Amino acid sequence: MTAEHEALPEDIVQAAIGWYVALAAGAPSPAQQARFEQWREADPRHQRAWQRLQKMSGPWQTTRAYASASQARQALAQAGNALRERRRALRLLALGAGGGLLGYGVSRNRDWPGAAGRLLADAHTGIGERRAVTLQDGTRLLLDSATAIDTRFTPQARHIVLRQGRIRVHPAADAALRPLRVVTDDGDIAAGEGVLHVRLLPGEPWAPRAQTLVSVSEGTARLRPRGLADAPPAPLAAGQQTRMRPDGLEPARPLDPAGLAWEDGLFQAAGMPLVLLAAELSCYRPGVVRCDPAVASLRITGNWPLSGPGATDRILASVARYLPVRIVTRTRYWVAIQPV
Amino acid sequence: MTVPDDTLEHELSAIYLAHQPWLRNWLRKKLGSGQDGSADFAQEAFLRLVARFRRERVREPRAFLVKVASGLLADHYRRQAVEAAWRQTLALRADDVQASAEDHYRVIEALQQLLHLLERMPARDREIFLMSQIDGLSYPQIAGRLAVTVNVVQKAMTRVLAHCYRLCYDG
Repeated sequence: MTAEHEALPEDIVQAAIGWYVALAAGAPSPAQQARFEQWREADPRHQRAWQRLQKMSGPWQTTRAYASASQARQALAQAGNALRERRRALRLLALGAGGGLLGYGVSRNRDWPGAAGRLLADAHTGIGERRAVTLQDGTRLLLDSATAIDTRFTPQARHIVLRQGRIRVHPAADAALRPLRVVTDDGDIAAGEGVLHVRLLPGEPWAPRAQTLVSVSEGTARLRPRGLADAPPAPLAAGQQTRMRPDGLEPARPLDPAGLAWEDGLFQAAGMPLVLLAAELSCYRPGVVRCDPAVASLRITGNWPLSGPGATDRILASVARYLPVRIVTRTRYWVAIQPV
Repeated sequence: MTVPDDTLEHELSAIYLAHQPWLRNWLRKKLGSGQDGSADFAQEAFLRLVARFRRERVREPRAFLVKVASGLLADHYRRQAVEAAWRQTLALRADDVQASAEDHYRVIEALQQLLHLLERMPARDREIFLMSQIDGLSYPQIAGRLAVTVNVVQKAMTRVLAHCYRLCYDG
């Protein structure tokens, strides 16, 4: 056995930890310091145990060097939640397809953003990609950038689980008359014979709670928030849109056509605050687009092509021509909108 | 006790041939369709097996490989989660835009390891640890905030460090 892997006696490890805690407790006195040095030099294994503790504390020392306390805590909490959600979702999946409507691993979607969530899905698009998909029943879907769906077709039902991103749904009539539902964390949407648009809105500074945005351009959809599974579903008619949360629906509003522009490969903004624009563009490029708070509430109106490489760069450049902002590129993955 | 090299090579190639196919399959199933990292994970698991073999003979290669591969998958998902969380954390702030890609790599790596260490810790111990090592509070300050004695804080820190030590060195 090499020294590197040698198991150290429990009492030595305990003693080293005791010193670590004692020295961390406050400014050690010279006498205490001397006793510590004496202990450390008394035995090479003391030395080794101490080195291991030093090495072990690398992760939190590095974290403190590069992140503020609030950043570190936020990132840890969020990542921890995502992992817990993932485990919970996997357990649900393991229970089998016999589970109820909401028994699927739908909780993965927004708590598990990023490539892993997408790659594990039945169908997904990469960043900047837009893709048409036809399901086994003939239902046609259009997937926006960075979108992931799962499909669960059983003899009783057809479910599309939207885990990330946004989709347009053209439901196909089903010979077995199975209803077609789009399922998210927030609830489910029964698609009639019409055209339905569903988007997962991430939880962001301007909308701290994640929500599902549902728009209907043809026909009628029926919405049932997750927490109101026993209540009758609420209809949403063509030309309307609403936001759904697990505990309810916002009042329906007229459909915002700018929200559907992506389906034609366009990005439309009608008086859109820059902070929102930054978030929207982040869906279409790898990395982050950040917006300085000083210019966050400036508004922009415009209509830009969204496809092709560099599309978001061109949009940002155009924003800088119209508003007193400059686009600062830190790295390829890191762009900031800043005041001039 | 070190295993001689030629014996080692024979044993390892036998193990590799016997175990590589099912390990790839097992990983493929865990990863789900559409993602093929199974070869990389399997490779890495075998490298760890080789490293372990140099120190002592592994009696149950299958159990060892499953344990290592599970750990690798957990690391993988943890890393993805930390990356996403860190990205979002940054997106909320306009300051310190000077950090380089390398700094990001470092902090993501560190957060990932930290998350791993903190995962199975009782909530209060974890909070005390974070207050001390991340918030930079002194033991008396922590004790004051949580309305406990300094001794309770010290004991919690001792437990946390022992837990981290076990994870890092008794695996």
